[in-house]
Amino acid sequence: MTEGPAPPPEPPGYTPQTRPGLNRLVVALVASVVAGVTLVALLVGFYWPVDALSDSVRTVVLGPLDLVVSDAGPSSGLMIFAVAGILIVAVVALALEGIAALLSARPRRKVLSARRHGMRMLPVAGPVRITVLVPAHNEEVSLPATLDSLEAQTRPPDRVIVVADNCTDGTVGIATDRGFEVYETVGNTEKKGGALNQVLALLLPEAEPEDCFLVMDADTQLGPEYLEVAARELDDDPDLAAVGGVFFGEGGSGLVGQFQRNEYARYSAEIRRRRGRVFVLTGTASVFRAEAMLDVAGARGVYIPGIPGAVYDTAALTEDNELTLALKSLGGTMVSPPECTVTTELMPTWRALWTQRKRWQRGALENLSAYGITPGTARYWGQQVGIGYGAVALMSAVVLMLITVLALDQWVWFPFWVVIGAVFWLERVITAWPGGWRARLLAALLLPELAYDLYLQMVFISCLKDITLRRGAQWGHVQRTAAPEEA
Amino acid sequence: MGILPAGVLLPESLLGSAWFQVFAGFVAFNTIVYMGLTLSKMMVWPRQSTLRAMAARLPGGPAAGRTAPEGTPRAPGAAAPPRAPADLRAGLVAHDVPVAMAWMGGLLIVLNGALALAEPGRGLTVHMVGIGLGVLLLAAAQVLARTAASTVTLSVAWGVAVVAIVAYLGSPLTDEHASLALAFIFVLQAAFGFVLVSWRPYIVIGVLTFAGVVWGTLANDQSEPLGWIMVSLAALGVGALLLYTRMTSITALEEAQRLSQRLATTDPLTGLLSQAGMESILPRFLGTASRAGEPICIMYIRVPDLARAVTEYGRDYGDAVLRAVGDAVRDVVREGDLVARWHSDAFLVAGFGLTPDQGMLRRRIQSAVTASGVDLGKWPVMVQAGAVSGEPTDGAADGLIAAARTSAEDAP
Repeated sequence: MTEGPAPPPEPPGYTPQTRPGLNRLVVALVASVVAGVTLVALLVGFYWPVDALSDSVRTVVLGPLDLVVSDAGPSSGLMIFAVAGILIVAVVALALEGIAALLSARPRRKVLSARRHGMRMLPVAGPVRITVLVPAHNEEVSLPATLDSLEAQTRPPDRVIVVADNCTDGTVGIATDRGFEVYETVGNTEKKGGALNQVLALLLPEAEPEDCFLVMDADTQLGPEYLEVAARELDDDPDLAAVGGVFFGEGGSGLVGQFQRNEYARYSAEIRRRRGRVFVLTGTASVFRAEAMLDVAGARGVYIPGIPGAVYDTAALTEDNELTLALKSLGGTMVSPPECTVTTELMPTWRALWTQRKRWQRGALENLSAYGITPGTARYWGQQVGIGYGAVALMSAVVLMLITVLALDQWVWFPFWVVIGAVFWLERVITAWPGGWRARLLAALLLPELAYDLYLQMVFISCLKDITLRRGAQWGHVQRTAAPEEA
Repeated sequence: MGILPAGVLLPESLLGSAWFQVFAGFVAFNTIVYMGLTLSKMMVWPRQSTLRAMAARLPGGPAAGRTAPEGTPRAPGAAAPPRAPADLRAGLVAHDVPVAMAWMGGLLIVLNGALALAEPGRGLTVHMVGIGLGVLLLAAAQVLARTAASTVTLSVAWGVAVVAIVAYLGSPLTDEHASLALAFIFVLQAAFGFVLVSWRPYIVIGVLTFAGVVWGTLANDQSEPLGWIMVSLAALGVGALLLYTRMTSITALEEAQRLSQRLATTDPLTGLLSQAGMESILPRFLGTASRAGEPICIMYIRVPDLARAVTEYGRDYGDAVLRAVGDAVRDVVREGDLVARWHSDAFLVAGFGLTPDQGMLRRRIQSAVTASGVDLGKWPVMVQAGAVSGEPTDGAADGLIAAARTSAEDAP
């Protein structure tokens, strides 16, 4: 509301910066591993080529239809290598998970907190206290729904602070009118991470062991049980560092919205099957123990990258991914219970989606370059290689199908590949099932979602290109003008 | 759509070229690997074994008292309520049924895919049925894992299916394909059975069903090894599953033993470690500290006037004081420190690291005891506290305990 005083002189090095250093090395590493895997797969193709149209083509009469059928399938050698490939990938993936899990068996966090409390006598005395921090930058349209969802919690938050960051609209007024605490940032030039760092610098020194902070976006609504379940998880396990949300897309935004809803719903189902073993604590809404945040702040510049004393690393493009890496590197445990649902803003246009995904993707790659290959980040490296190889595999499959369709003068059925295709198709439809008939229809059409996957892979490739050419990155934000009301 | 207008852009001879076939092999390899991975992603993971579970296994561990809901007073001796066998069994069913189904589904898909390829054109329908069953099983595992399987429903379904299959076996209709399809169903039956019925009936029924499969394969004069491969692989899979169950039951047994161990090492009055419990755990504790290169610290807390309080206000009051002091000590020390009732009027705490400030330790415990209100209307309960630290060498504990005790007794 008021003009803040002039920003204090910044200490050297505390300026908005892009990640220094080795981003191109990350690209080179990921690309060369992907190339290596491609080479191996090509060798398998070289030794066991697939001849679709040799002598196995015959005609089958099925009622009024004459179907041309080819019994050709892959040879047994290829099949054996494929099964071996499945096993190898599965074993590597499990091993990477295991390595990360070992970190939390003797967490570095504990060493840090021991150094912090000279007395080292700080028990968690009672049930956790949850303070909600809502960083908001000109969110007058979305904020009321967010505050409604906080008021509708089955277990109310103990304190709510709206962190108004460089707001020029009615955000502050809306929050104060409804009786919420507002903290206005002073001279913040570092987006959400900077705003949160400012308010946490005031709150953390006063925090007690039972204090926790829910950091949630102002365009996000919590499910009604979110705080109850999160508090229960934190009460039950004194070592749990953080509880994340499982996010779903809001309604609306047409087809591009439906693609994102399907994607999010599948991701949530996967987290549920993994019993809450989450890849990234979502920045939309996650609860952190104050102790865990202090551990991160204390470890920055020592064990993990960043400026000593800052909870959020403001140089990171994706601060939630970065904070997850930070906690995992210190051996912090985290969980995303299925009850902790979060409804979040979707990107309304393809262009906005492109910008958002590019930020996520680029942030993930840059964070890996900042952390290097460590036990805590190994599985995230594997994930990037997986995305890269996924692009190679999907695109080559599309090219193969196109060539086949364009070159055949007659439609030929391949029962083996029809079955394989049917398995993929079933998987798509079943995983989209809970999303209602629109989601099912979209999944059943198969081709649109294939195109969407290709679109996301283009984002990945475009990121690799940008990093290689050292192009700048940007932060995307959807400025809401009207309330998005759509059934 | 029988025939589409195609072949207009590229010559069909392209498909016969060597590079295209290599490319097709490359894509085929990728596709099969991705199908396997997609299906393996449907797998339901076991629960996170949290640090809490590990901490709770330590007798007198800090998590023990905290798992009780807020506000319920802790009954003496009941540090953590033991889990009922019914709970264990319910967990077994809710977790193991879906896991077993997912395994079987995956096995069926891989097996049938491999067999369909090994002999293209033969028994394709059967293999397609097998793959379909596998996918269904995976999907069902999904649903069950979400909603916790109903044991009764599944048991009834299982029983009905066994009867139906035995009846079908008796009929003369069994031909080659039918017997193979039967083999699938038997494998499914075997997979479900062991989690639904108890161990011994399962062995009997399992042996009978496998005898049935082998007999069915032989009786239908199958000279080709397909049926044999089926049966032996299925037996292999089920054998692995049996082993897995055996291991889960051993885990349950271990848990029971750990529980009885805990009861033996717990002080019934305060729910903390007993002296015997502390003595049995200290050597391991010293070992851990010495491997970690950390010093250990021993804190000794006593209630000097306990005997006088008992004489004046009675034995019940003495017990109440001890409980209050025990709670205070447990709440004041760090997570992971071992807390024991040491003598009739004293408590011992062992932890990693250097000595805390003795005066502050005493003040914190004292204020916690005062806050508990146990001595309302009576003369106040005072505590003494001593703390020392040292290197965790063999036999260092006795010396440290003695030093802490002296330090406590000399304290104001």
